Amino acid sequence: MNVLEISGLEKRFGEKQVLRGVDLVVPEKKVYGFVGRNGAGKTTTMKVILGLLAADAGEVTVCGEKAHYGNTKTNRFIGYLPDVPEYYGFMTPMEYLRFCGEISGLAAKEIGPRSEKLLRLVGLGGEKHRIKGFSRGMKQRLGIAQALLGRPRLLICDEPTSALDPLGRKEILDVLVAAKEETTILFSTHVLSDVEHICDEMALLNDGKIVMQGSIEEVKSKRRGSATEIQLEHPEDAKLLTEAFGGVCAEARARADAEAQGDLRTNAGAIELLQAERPDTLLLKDADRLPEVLRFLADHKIAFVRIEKQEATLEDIFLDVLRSEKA
Amino acid sequence: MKAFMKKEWMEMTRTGRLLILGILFTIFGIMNPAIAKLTPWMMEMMRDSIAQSGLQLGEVTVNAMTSWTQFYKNAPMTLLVIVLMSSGVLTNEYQSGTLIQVVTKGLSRKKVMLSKMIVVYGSWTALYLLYFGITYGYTEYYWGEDKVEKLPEGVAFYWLFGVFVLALLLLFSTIAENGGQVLMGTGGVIAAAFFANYIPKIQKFLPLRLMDGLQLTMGSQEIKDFIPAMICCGVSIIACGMISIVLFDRRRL
Amino acid sequence: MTGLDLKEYLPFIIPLIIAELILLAVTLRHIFTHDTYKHGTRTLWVIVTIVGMEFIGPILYFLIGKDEA
Repeated sequence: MNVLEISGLEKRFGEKQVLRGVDLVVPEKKVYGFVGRNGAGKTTTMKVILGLLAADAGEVTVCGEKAHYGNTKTNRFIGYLPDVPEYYGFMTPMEYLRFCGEISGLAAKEIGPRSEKLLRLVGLGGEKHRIKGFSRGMKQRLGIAQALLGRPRLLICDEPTSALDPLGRKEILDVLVAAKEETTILFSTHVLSDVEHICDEMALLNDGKIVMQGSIEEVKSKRRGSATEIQLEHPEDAKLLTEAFGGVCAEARARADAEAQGDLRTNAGAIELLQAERPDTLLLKDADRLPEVLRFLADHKIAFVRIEKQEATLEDIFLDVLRSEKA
Repeated sequence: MKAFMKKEWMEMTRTGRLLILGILFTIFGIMNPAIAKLTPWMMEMMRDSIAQSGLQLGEVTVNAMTSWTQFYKNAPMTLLVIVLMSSGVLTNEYQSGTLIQVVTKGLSRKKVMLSKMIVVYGSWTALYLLYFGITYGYTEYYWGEDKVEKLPEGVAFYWLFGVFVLALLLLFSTIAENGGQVLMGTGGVIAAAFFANYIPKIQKFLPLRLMDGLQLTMGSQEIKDFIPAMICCGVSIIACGMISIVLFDRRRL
Repeated sequence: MTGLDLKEYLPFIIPLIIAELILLAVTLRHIFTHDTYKHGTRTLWVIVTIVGMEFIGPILYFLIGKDEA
């Protein structure tokens, strides 16, 4: 069963088309990372799910029910943590959770123990002060507690970690991992290491479209082991290599095309410079040609510093996708 | 909804808004009979200068009527205070984003709006009663033997007018972005009503007439003179309420 | 001046003074327990409150000076 299904979502703010047909499926009991640059449309998508914004086109289904703008019933399935959560400053955390429990229709005798348990979970156990003096991190943690209070089937967190220091971030991620036991989590972020740490699946949103989605393993395997970095001792030798292997090598190209349509980098040659500012480092994309290259290095007595198989990080993939989108 | 009302109550008491309003209305309430009581003394003080200008001042008689005249004179002030203090009742929540958590928790927007109405009308009613009660108490104490006619009716009319103004305030609160816009909208409608008051034909339908409770007490007007305005006012209040709920349902938070 | 019998005015004066003192105290406490104001500075608001203490000062403060929450 899918907790959340989005299809063909479009949203325009005045001149700016923010969402251009977002399709997203979040299966149950997963931590789903919603990645994208600032301004890619993550918050907009979330607000549409919650009925806080009207979509221009497309459909949102939460737990099998259609969500719509305004007063939407599907919100009873959802716990929401906004990017900058705001509370009634004159209440204490306990009072606020009690208030939330009462408006969401939780059984009166359940509210007390559940609130206490959640406040302990987020580390605000003995906090008796009113919310108005709280720091960003404390508000963020209280936000998770209030979002989880009603045992939502879907927890939506909008950039829960972005404004926090490393310690505060780790705390929030730990809380989210703990919450995974009870609920499905959709959280947006532009911090990729967060996704790598706690997510099962992810989608990459760029310029109003989902450009990639799948489980973390799937996404990473698209690149894993596919490239080798060669760092040479003398940058001028790089030219020799690119001349020998870098030309349009018909054989390698055909193989690359057939091998992976999903392969994110389109290769013109088997070897190319990794980065313009590092003239000594080359990238060999076609692993099968590694012996050939090694022989070439030996024959020409080219000194090298290291030859290393590249471990793909989400960062690389992310950048790759963004680059190819632009092209 | 009960929980939201409880939150509103907590907000009123903890931010000190209720206390401030209570004190202000108390002060206003005391001022009415106090000014009435002081009138002869002030006249006495000015007697010399007035005599010099050649005017002969007769003995000033102060009675319950003087006190109630003051009551109606200061009533707009009380209304102004509560309007100013309530101008942020919804806009403050839009600006801070606190309502987002409330509606995403599944509390229906209609209930939020209804709670706000109950709170605003309720506080006006309670505070106005306080204002009236204090003036009434003093007036009874000093001029108890002096009976005034149709006082409750006139006072109730003014209350209804207050509800009308606050209904406008709530209506503008559903479309405005900040308290200033709410005040501008509400003030604009009231100002328009004042201009419309110059047109004799519609004069008797305008809610503004309900401010003239004093005329009723002085006997220069009858209750039936107020009925068209009363009906208009009631219909407007209900209409404002319904439009507010519809607009609030569609509003971006 | 003979017309003024102070005793007769006590029922007004006492509650009025009490109410205004409470108002003054509440306003001043609010000013001193908050560091930020929507407009103006602490000194300004203390002066306004005391000068306009019969009620105008405090009203002004709570309308234009008070910061949210």
